[in-house]
Amino acid sequence: MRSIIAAIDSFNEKIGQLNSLLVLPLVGVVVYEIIMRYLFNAPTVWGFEMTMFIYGVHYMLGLALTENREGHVKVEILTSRFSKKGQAWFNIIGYALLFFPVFGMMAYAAVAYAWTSIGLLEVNNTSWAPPIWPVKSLMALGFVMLFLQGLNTFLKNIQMLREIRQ
Amino acid sequence: MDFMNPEFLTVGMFGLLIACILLGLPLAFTLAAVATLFGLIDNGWNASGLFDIFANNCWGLMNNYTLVAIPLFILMAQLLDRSKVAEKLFEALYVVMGRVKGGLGLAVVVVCTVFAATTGIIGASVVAMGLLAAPALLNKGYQKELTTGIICSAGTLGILIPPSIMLVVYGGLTGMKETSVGQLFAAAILPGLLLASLYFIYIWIRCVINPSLGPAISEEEASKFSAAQKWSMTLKSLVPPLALILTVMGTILAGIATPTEAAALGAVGSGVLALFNGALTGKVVYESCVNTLKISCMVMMLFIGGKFFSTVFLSMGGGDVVVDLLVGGGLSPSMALLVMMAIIFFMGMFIDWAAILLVTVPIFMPIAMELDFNPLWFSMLVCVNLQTSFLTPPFGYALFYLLGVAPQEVKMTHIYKGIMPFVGLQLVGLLLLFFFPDIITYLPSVFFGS
Amino acid sequence: QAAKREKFGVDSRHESSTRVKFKPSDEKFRWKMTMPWSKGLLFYDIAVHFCDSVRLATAGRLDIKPFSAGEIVPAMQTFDAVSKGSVQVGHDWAGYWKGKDEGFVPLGDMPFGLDSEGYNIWLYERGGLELAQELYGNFNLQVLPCGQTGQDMGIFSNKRATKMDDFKGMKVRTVGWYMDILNRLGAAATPMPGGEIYLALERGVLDGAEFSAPAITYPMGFDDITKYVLSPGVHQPGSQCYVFFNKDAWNELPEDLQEIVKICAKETQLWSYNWIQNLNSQAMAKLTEKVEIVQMDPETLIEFNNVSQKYINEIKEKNPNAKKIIESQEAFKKDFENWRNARANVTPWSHETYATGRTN
Ligand code: NA
Ligand code: NA
Repeated sequence: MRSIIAAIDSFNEKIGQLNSLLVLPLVGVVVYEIIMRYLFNAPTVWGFEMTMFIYGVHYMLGLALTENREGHVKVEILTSRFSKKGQAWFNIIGYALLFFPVFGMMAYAAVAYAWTSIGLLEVNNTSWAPPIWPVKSLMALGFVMLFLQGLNTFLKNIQMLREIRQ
Repeated sequence: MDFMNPEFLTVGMFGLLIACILLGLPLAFTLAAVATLFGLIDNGWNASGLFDIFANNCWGLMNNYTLVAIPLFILMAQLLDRSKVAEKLFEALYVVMGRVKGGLGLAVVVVCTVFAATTGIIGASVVAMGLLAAPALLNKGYQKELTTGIICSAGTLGILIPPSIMLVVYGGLTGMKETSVGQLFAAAILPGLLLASLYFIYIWIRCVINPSLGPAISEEEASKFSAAQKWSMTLKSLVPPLALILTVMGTILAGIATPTEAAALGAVGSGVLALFNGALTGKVVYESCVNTLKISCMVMMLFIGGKFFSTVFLSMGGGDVVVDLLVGGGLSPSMALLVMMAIIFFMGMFIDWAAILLVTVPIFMPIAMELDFNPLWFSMLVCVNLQTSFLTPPFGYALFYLLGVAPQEVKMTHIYKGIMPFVGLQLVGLLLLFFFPDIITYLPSVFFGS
Repeated sequence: QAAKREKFGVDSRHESSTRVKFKPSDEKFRWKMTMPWSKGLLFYDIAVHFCDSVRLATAGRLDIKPFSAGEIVPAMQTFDAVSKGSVQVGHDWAGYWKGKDEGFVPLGDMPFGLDSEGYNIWLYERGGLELAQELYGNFNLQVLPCGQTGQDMGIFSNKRATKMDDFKGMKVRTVGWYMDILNRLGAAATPMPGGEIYLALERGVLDGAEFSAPAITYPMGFDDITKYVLSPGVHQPGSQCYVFFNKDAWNELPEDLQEIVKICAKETQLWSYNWIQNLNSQAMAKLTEKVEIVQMDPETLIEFNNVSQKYINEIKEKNPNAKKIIESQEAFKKDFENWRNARANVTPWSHETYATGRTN
């Protein structure tokens, strides 16, 4: 089990960390658009779309990393009073009941959504008309990664219960 | 089946959400789970249809340009933080405010108000101020409740003071000339400043009564700084970041960049400041990037969960249920206004402003016209009221954003307690706008004629 | 010897309608409709009008509940959601689905495309509807024309432009084919997202922006922040909307309901045109208090037309569906010219205006 946990963690962390650098080209594209429009009177046809897609991919591929680092905000008014064991049980039940069915389906639906797009080799409905099937595929990847990371949270809590027992 | 009527579903959805929030699982997941359950009940357990709609909504969020302001402002805050520019700024403000009780808190309100004029997305402003100002206030011994109250409330001014994405959406929804985006922008300036002033006065009075809430610099420490030193501190530390914020504003006002684009200039500017402070190392940039990712994903995950929730709420007819409360009773104009405001306030406790607007505006606006209310005045009452939705427990986005970025010792209970007086102040502001409509209509009449 | 003259036209539906075997049903359907329109746009009212007509005509047997943009799915996800069957009905302006197939653009309207009269004749009498069905059908959709809003206004601008040179370097917000065409004409067109437009126009980030028909544009308040409208709206002479159904859902409808839906769509097509055009003249009266309507000169219009045609010819070469649809429309334009010419010069101006020599 440890090795599964470690593998998922390291996969999601690596992709997440690399992906975090996307914010730099994001700034770059926006600034380039301002310069081209204001100084050269030549706005691009692709700047706004490119910006949205970079940001879209940026946060989609970061959802799992954020889950790994417990960055998704929660209200621990009740749970902070529980014992370590209680908290672990709480998370195990919570993730089994709420997270798995919903984000399992979500990952599946996102893959199906991307699959339809790939089948069409879909392009955007704009003048620039870039292919959007790769972006939709990355959205699907983001949800698959998030699902795996949730699975990891679940496994980590089971692991913790075992350790408490020993 | 009777339990499937929209009234039951709406009440059940809210009830379950409250219960689940207390469970202590990540909120965004909880929102999505509650949405899934009720979405399935509503559409006859067609899971693939429901999740296809969710996927479409996620794709829609990936095509939303204004959201780009979120990572840009977070990156800016990260760079300002890591290069100690922010720390020096607040240190200088602390000294400059001298023996004024609650002085730093007051300064933060002013900074937030200026900042509000540069962004229209509250995820961006609350998170940025939470990163920069919260540690500063706490370090100086400000009470946790007061600190969180100041940042959530003042940070949320960005949604009211133009530019504002909320007003853009509102203008598009009413489809009336009297409430075009330009008119709304002009109308929102004074109410925004009014709220800022109310916060300002409140903080000052509370700190005068009980100085331990927001301690000023000690006499001993203050005497260490001569007037000349204070001036040089101000120049060195206060001017660069303020110049940065004013540059961002300036590029918007001068027609160089749109508000979202200006956020990118802010990020570049903060990088330049870091460079001058010798803090722009590869490590700082990398860490800023990773933190920016983590925080903007926290915000976006809430957007995703909230979107699922409001989609299901709207598609099962929850909006009609809420609004049916209003229709049918032969209410007097002021009573009708009160009920409409109460509905918006109540909905604001649970769902996001965009969903509330989609539901209420198209129904309330004709009623308001029937009752002969000034459309701009009525609209601004709605918008100021909606501003509370970011702050009202149990579900207030600003509160969760702050929880996501505030120092570890700040707990949700501090934030819930801290925000209450400020919600009260917003209601006071709402009353003032009700009794003095000129606060709303004055600027539009100057800009556009009456 | 002259050929024998016969009655000139036939109502092709008549014969089949007399032979129909009625199978009335009292099954009830509760469907949802999604669309790219927010509630402040008159397009939303057109979609709602269709739903109302259907509910009234079927006595509630088919109850379609309209949801505005963002209530169920975001504006631009209307097509996907209905195609997959997650929502049963959608309303649109066809050009939005350009990314699925460029052929959708001429179904909705294109620069120097068909006007309202043209769409009505082309769709119902010249096989346009069949071509539309072929294209929507590829995506598991059943389509009907359902809303015609006529010509768009021109470009709201702070720069007065009537000659080709005036347009050079102008920063204009528009999207799609018109953006490419404007860029070829030397303008600096940009697809700036909706939420940013107003402030950008006010502050001078943009020189101009186009939106829609006068009544639909009026609430935007663009006249508060600009001085001129560079007319005419060459980019869209007659915006055509459609209602479309997921095919599996459509096939579940009994025949009588299908027939009612078809009639209601046609009724909406008629109503929307009259409603919007009448509102347009009222809106123009208010708009012109603040902005001056500026007409491009004929040479500029011809230049616009030339560049547009060249662009459209390139599209035709790249996309066979677009080619088929555009060529069908071009054939109609050509065939119709003889009558357009013969009937010219009695444009119903008021007597006072006509007397000034304004005949066409
Ligand atoms: Na703002
Ligand atoms: Na709230």
